[in-house]
Amino acid sequence: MTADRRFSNLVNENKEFEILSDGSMAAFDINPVLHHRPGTNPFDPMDIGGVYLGDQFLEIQTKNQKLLSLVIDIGSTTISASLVDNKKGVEIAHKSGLNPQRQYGDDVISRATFIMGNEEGLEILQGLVLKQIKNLAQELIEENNYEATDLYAVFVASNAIMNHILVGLSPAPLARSPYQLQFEGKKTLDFSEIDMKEFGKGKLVVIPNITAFVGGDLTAGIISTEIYKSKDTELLIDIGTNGELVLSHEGQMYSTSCAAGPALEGMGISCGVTAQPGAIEETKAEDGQLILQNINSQPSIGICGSGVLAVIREFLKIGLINYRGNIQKQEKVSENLHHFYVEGQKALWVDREQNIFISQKDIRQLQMAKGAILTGIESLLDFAEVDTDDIKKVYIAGQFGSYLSPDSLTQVGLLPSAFHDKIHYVGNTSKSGCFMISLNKEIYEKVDGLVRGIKHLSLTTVEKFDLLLAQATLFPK
Amino acid sequence: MTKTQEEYLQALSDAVVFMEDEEIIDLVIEYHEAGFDTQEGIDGLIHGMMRVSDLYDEEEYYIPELILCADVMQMGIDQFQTYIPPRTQDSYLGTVVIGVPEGDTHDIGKGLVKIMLESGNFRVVDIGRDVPLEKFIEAAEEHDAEVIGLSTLMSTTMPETRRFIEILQERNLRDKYKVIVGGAPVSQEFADQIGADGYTESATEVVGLLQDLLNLETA
Repeated sequence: MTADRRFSNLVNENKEFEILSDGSMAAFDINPVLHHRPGTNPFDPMDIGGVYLGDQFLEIQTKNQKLLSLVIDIGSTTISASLVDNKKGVEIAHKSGLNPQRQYGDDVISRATFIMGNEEGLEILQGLVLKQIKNLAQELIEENNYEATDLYAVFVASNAIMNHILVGLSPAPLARSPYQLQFEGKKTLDFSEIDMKEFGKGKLVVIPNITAFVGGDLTAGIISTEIYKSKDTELLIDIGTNGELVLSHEGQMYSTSCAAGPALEGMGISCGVTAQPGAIEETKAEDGQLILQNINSQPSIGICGSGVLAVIREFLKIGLINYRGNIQKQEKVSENLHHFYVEGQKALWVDREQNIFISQKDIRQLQMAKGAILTGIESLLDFAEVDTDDIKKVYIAGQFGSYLSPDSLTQVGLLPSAFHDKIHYVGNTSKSGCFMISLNKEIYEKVDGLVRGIKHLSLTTVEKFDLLLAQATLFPK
Repeated sequence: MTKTQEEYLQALSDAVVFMEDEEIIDLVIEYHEAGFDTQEGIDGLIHGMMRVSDLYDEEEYYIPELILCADVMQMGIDQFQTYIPPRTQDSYLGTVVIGVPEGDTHDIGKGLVKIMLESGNFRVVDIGRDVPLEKFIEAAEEHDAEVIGLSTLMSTTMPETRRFIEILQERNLRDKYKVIVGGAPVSQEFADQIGADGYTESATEVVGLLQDLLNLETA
């Protein structure tokens, strides 16, 4: 779906709410990791010197040699690539394609399961992702009139299971307790090791993961939001099937992850659909009716993730759902709301004409998902001994999160209500942060240390976790 | 106003159903000081949990309520148990070893199954999470269990349940135990495939399942 959003007319007059197709970035000095160093002969007319990646020598070249890199974000659904001119420090063009690994499972865990059950699984999935990256690279290079050998580096930020597969390491140890990463810090491979010989000399650089479930995409988020530098207490959240959190407080960073499941993305919901034309994405209850807002204003075909949250938010507001998540008994609500009740079922109509409803079970799914994220936040704050009110900024990263309004997030109780006015949408920081790392040698060199210094909280060690989760699944009263 | 025992038992049952975590301990103390029978008091709490289970089946309550209610019941039982020694094995319907196999550290589902089984008068030996398969067999042998339950929340540890049944077969122990499986990624189909004896979708159905498997009279 495009960055075109139509929230403004319904809910959100909030000034900060703008959508970024690419992530936002702090200002930074351009000092590319990929660079040319002059040779030792000051009278050499060709200025022959070397191409370097950081301090690693790649090949002898003249000063005029073009220096291209790719900045890649590998999502479980989409792979997107930016072609970057490292002499100017600018993006030349970008392109995205589907992640062909999808045929082996929608989510990363099912792909890991596939690899664990098949001897050639790792090779198959690695081959697929490499092929797509090479395709994107070739197309970007050709369309912009460069040579394959102008490419010297590929920088990748992604979740850990994805980048383990990419470098040919089995994700099995990540998907099982004790959920151990197979490499720490950046991982660098020569193009020749990943079947990219046609691009000549060059290296693939994987941005370091924090843990098995807080990946390099969050590392990139830390860089682009600069929460690692902040003197305030700030929280970075990536909302998705797997919720990932990094908190920065008094110069120390803390992380955790929580399994929210796919309900927040509209999956596993009776009338749930992914974001597409006709998906109900936002709504408002007025005079006993729901005013729907569908993507591209087309007739409703289902409810996407942001819509599910919005519908529940409005039903909570008018009392059709109580704080425990129960659909209120019909005799307890005023008569002008009776038309919402689906006859003979525990469900409420969202768009009766199009046969779209939300069931009691759907609400339960959403409660578990939002409860998981909220428990993650509360446990992390507790771990760092921080009060909710101490948080000055809450960065919502990731494409999906950017579609969730502050009203939905706080009134459904996915985030504490105190966060409402502190929310900043930072978009795909996986890419913007990776871009920053690739274009600033200082950041590139210190990122491993930053990651190493993060204190990680595993929610499985939290005492009375089940009780916390149970409380967190309730809606705000 | 003093309450009759019946009124107290109703209050104990209600406290579980309505998640009265702040009142339960005082209520148990009051009941005890009024001189009523401890075991009957515990049964009052369990009665509440059975009502909770019914409410769950009616979709009135959900996992959060199960957890919160179970917590209140446990608080009450713990308080009662300061007055009497724990039950002896003879009075149980059976012994169940439950755990989460190695590789998985999620155990909310297992906790609920445990509560429901204990409410249903089964003795539960909870061997924890991330447990090697060998431990399941050791615990079952040691405690003379009739049933072994494996719970997995991650699809990556599902194969462990299959392997467990294979190990039982290899050691000629398969017929000695009923094996039940559960957890979010598990289904009846999967349970049939690996040759498990039973599966239920929710923790509230597990007591009924075991009554069937062990050919017990239903209460």
